[in-house]
Amino acid sequence: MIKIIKPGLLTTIQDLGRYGFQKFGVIVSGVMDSLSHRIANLLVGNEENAPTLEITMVGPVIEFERDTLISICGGDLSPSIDGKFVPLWRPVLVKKGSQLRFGQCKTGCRSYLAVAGGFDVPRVMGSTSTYLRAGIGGFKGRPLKTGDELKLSPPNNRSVQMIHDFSTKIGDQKFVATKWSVSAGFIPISNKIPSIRVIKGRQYQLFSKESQKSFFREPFEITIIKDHDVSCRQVIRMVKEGKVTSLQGKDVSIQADTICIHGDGEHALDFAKYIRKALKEANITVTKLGDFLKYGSFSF
Amino acid sequence: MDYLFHPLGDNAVIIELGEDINLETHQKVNMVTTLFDEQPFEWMIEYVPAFTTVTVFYDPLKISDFISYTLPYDYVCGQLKPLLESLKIGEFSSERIVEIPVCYGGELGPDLEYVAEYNGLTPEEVIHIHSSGDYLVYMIGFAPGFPYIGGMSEKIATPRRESPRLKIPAGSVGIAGKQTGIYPIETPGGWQLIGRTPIKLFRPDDKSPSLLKAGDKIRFKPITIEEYKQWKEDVSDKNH
Repeated sequence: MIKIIKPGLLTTIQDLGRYGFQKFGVIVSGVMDSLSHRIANLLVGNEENAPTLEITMVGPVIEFERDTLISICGGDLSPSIDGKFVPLWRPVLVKKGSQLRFGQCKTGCRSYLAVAGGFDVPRVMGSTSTYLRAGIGGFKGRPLKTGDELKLSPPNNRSVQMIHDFSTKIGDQKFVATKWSVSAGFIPISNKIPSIRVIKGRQYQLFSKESQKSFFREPFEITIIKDHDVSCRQVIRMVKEGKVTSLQGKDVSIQADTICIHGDGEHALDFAKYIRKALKEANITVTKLGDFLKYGSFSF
Repeated sequence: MDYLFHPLGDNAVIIELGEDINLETHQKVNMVTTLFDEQPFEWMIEYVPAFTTVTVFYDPLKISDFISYTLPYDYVCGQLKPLLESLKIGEFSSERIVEIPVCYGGELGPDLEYVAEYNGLTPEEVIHIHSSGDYLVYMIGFAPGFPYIGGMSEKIATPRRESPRLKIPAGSVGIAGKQTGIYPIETPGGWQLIGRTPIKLFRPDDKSPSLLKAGDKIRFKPITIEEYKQWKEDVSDKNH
C-alpha cells in the first residue's frame, strides 16, 4: 500500500485508455505520454497497460508502507527521498516507511510513477483510467487527495526476482536504483528542435497555398518575452483592447480572462509583484480564480 | 452508396457520407455502423458515428503485421471500399423507441415559464408540444450518453441563456435554439431547462453505458413530481 501525504497539483491513476465507447460519448482518457507510461511499467516488470500515477507539474508526497519496486519516467519533476535525488528511467527499490517527494519541474510537465504489480483499482468499462468529468475510473473517479491509501496488486514473478536482487544491495539506504537506465534514444524529451509529424486532414485544402507551404517550412517558436515592461503592456492591451500583436506584427483579437505567471522563471516573484502593480495602475482588478468560479460565470 | 475517405491522423479514417444534417445521411451512417456491428474487422479499434460521417479507428501496428508494401491507411480503405459499395440505401431499419419520462416545470424545469413567454405560449402548451413530438437521436457525444436529438417543433425554439449555469443536474431536459437535449451528467451549460428525467442516461456499470444510441427514436412522457420522486427511489433501491 502507498499513502498520499500531499496530493500535488493533479495526480490521477491512468492506463492506456478506455476504448470502444466513443460512440457513446465516452472519451478515451488515459495517459498523455503513453511512451513514458509504457516504459515505466516495463521497468518494474508490469504489462504496458498497468495503471500508473500520472503526476502533473507539481508532484505529490507519497509514503510507502512496505518495500516497493518503482520507476519514474517522463518529465523530470525532481523526485527525491530523504533529500537524495531519485534517478528516472530505471527500476528503483524503495524501502518501507520512506517518503517520495517531488520538487521543481525541470523538463516536461508530466511524470509517470509505476509500481510493481500496478495499482489495485477496479476496471470501469475495461479501463482503470480516471475520467474526471464523468467521475469514473482510477481511484474513486477523482484526483488523489491527502490521506488516500492505494492498494497495490501483487507483483509478478519477474518483479519478485528484481525485488529479491535489489534487497541484497539496499542495506541501510532508503532506496537503491540500478546503475543502468533506459537508452537516451528512447527518451522523448530532448533539447534539439523537436519535430511534430503531421498528416494532412480533411480541411487542409481550404488553406491558401502560401499558408500550406509556410506551415511545413517555418520553425515555430514558443515565444517568451523577457522584458517586464513589454510583458505588462501586452497584458494590459489584451485586457483593455482585446488585441495582441503576433510575431508577424499583425493585430489579432483575443479575449484574455486569466494571466498565468510561470513560477519557475528566474525573476518570477519580482515579475508577479511588478505586473500586479501595473494592472492596478491601469484600473484592472485581479480576482482569485477560486472566487471567480464561485461568483463569476463563463460561457460554454 | 456515395462516400469519401479522409485520413484522421495515422490511426483513423473518416468516412464522409453526406454534407448536410438530414435523415438520408443519418440512415447511411446507421447502415454503416450496423454493418460494423455485424461484421467487425479484427484491426478495428472502434467506430464513431456523427451527423454526416463515421470515423473508423484502427491499429496500424496490428495491420503492419499482415501487410507489406501498403500503408495501413490504404489497406483499411481497401477493406472498407467493397463494403460501402455493396450497401444500398434502405436495406436496414433497426429502430428502437425509447420513452423518456420528464417532470416538466417547477424546481426541476426553472426555465419553462421563460420558454413559454418567449414563444407566446402557456407552459402547458410548451409541455404538450415538447412531449408530443417524434424525436430522432442523430448521434451521442459531447458528454457520455448525451444525445443530439432532431425533430423539435420550432414553436418552442428558444435561444440559450445569456449567462450559462455553472452546474446543471444530471437528467435535466433543455432547449437551445431549435434543439432539445438531456444532460446525462452534471456539467456547466447554457440551455433553457424545462424539466428533468429520473432515468439515468449514463450507466458506466452497465453493458451498454449509454441508454440511448444513434438511430433511436425518443418520446418524452410528462410525469408528476410524485412520480418523479417515486422513480428516483426505485432506481436507488435497485442500486443498493
